[in-house]
Amino acid sequence: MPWETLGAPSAIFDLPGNKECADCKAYGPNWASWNLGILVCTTCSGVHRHLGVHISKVKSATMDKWKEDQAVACLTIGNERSNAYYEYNVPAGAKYLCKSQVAAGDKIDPVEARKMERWIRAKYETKKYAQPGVDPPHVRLARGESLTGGAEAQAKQEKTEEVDASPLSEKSDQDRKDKKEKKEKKDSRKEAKEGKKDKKDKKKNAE
Amino acid sequence: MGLAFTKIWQRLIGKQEMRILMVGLDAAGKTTILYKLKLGEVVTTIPTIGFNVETVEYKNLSFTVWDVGGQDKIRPLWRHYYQGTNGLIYVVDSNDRDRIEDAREELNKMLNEDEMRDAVLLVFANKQDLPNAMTAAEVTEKLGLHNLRHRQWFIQSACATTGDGLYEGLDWLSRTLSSKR
Repeated sequence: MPWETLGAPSAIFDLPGNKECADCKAYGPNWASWNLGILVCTTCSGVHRHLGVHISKVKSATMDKWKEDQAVACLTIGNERSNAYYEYNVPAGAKYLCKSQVAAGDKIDPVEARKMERWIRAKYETKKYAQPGVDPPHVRLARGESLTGGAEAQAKQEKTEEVDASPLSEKSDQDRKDKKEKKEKKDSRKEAKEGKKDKKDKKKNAE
Repeated sequence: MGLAFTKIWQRLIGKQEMRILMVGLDAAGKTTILYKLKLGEVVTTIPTIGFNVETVEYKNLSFTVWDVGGQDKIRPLWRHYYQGTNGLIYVVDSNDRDRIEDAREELNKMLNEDEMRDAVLLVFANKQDLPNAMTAAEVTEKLGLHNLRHRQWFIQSACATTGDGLYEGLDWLSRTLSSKR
């Protein structure tokens, strides 16, 4: 029997970029467009649902049942990778950024709703700001391709893995920094230990 | 004289009140239908966690429409709204072919409940404006409506954002419920 869980696997919340809504950057998104592989806030999920399931399939990350393929799509893509594609070339000021209190009850303020819909449709339906010549991440995933880049980007990435300018490199820089710090801490702990050992040895000798 | 008498009579007895429960899978368009009927406007909605309730006056009836959230985790709560329901509006996203089987299961589960025995069933085959939407006939077949026994039912193709089909559905509800009284 294929597995099904209530709520998405918690690892989804830890993917790069998934602490913020993929579309308006609101903190702590709890809804997913599972076919696009992203997490969005409640308000943006309303706009996504409005587009129709042929563009975006919305699920609650906490209150809906999840099937394996849905979880895999979200775990493989994530907000950072998705936006690297869909927000590849966004002119200044074109992004919609979240405002508090745009929804009252279950209704989104109509003026804000229009702005949000324009932004989200441009992003996913007409792919106005997307990386040219490359298919969307979920399409490539469905073909069984690796998601580290497009065909050309992939070749480039293989060469320049370490100095890659994609948003993912920020994370690897951070990772490297973290590792370095950990190593330094470890070294200093080691030194401290050795220091103690020395003292113990001296004590022993004195005895 | 006759007209005046009718008006006085209506004022005396008031409109007949009907309790309507509107359910369906998440993102079927329930809240959008509710507000289109109530306000006559298209609103962009956020997912309903809990319920919305509005009274909609139509012809000789006053419908109290309960719109209940459709997420998996909160579907078991639907049964708390069953008692005293005269009419059930079941909303289907006609564009969502992948989940029509789920929609059928949930509908059958509900219709088997004793408290829903006497409720009439109106199905809205919603989102007809979207590409690749199933027709009302297709939805009828996939929901297995022809197999229903001892149930008055009607299916109406609809588009909540334009309002198409919504009042035709309410017409059927009001005719059917009035004749039941």
